[in-house]
Amino acid sequence: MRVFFAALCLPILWAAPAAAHSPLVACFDNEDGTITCEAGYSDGASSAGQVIRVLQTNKRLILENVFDKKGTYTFKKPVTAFFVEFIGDTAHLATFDSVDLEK
Amino acid sequence: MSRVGLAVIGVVASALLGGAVPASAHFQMLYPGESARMRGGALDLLMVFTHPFNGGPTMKMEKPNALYVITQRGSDGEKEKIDLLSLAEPFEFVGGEKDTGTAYRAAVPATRVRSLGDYVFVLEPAPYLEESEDKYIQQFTKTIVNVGGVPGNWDQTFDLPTEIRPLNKPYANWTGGVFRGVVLSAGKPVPFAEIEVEFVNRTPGKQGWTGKPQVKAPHPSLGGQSIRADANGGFAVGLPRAGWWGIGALNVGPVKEHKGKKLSQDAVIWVQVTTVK
Repeated sequence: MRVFFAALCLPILWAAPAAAHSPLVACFDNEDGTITCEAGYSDGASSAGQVIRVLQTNKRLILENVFDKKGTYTFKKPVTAFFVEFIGDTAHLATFDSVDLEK
Repeated sequence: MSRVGLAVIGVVASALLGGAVPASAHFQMLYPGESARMRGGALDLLMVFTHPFNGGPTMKMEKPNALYVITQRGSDGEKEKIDLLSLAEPFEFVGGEKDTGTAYRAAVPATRVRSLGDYVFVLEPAPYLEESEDKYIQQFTKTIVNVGGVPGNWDQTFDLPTEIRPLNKPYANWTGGVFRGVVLSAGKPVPFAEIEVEFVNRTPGKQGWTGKPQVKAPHPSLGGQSIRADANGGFAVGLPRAGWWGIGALNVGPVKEHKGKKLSQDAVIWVQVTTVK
C-alpha cells in the first residue's frame, strides 16, 4: 500500500498559546482508485469540519471539501501529480506532496 | 568441612556472585521496533520473557491468553480494538548467554497500523511457573506506538487486572527526561507498590539479542533498579539513556493464586527514550 505523508508547513505562533498545537495530515492510496486523507493536531484536537484542498502541482484546485467527524476524507485519485492542503484553524496549514510518495 | 564452614563459603560465594552479576528482573517484553513512527505500516511485535539488562536467562512462554491493540486518533476519537492473538507465532529466542527460550512474535500487517494516532498494544501472557521461587508470574504488558504525532488514548486505562497508567507519552521522551505513571490494581491506585526499572541493554533481533551490552552496572542495584510508588500509587523515573526502558510493578494484581501456587500479577509498561541532538 502506498502511503503519502505530510510535509509540514507550520506558521509558528509561539506567542499565542491557543495556536500552540500543530496540524498533521496523512493520506493513503486505497488501491481501489481512491485516496483517503486523515488529519488532526499534535494535541489531539479534531480536524472535523475543517478544510481539505487537493491541488495539482501547478496549484490549480482539483477539489475542496471538509473532513468528516472522524477527521477523514476520501476522494477519487487524481490522474496527475497532486498535493493536499489541510487548512486548520487559525491559519494552520499542513501539506503533503506526491513527490513524497512511499515506494 | 563443617556445615558452618560450608555455609560461610556459600555466603561468600553468593556475595561475590552478587557483586559480579547485576541484579536483573523478569520482564515481559512487547517490542515493536520504533514506538514513535512518522508513517504507518507493518510492524513485527516481539514478545519475549527475559531479563533485559543481563540479556537472559530467557523464560519459556506459553501461548498468550490475549494479544490486542486499541487504537484511537485524537482525544475524542473513536476507539477500535483489534484482536491480534491469531498472529502470534512461537519461536526460540536466543538470549545473551546463548540460552534459548520460547518466545512469540506477531507480524502485524500495515492495514492494522495505517492511520494517524496511538496504538496501545496489550499482552496478557499465560502465568509462568518460576520454579526457583515456586510461584507463578503473570505480567500484563502495554507498549504504546504512535503514528504521525496525533495522540489518542496513550493516557487511558484498559480494564486490565493490573496496569500502569502513564502520565507521560511512553513514545515521546528525551534523554534526561522523567517518566511518570500510576500503578493500578483492578482500576485503583496501589500505594507504595514495588516497582522495578530496567534498561534493555542489547538490541532485539529477529532470532535473539544482537550486539554487545551497551551499559555495565557497577553495582547490582543499578542493573535492575527497585523503587516504590508513593502513597497514591504514583511514581517518577529518570531516563538517562536513549533506548527502551521497562517499568514493572510487582505482585500488585488482584489474583494471588494459580494452580495451588502463589501468583504474582505484575504490571509492565515500556518506554522509549530518544537522544537529544
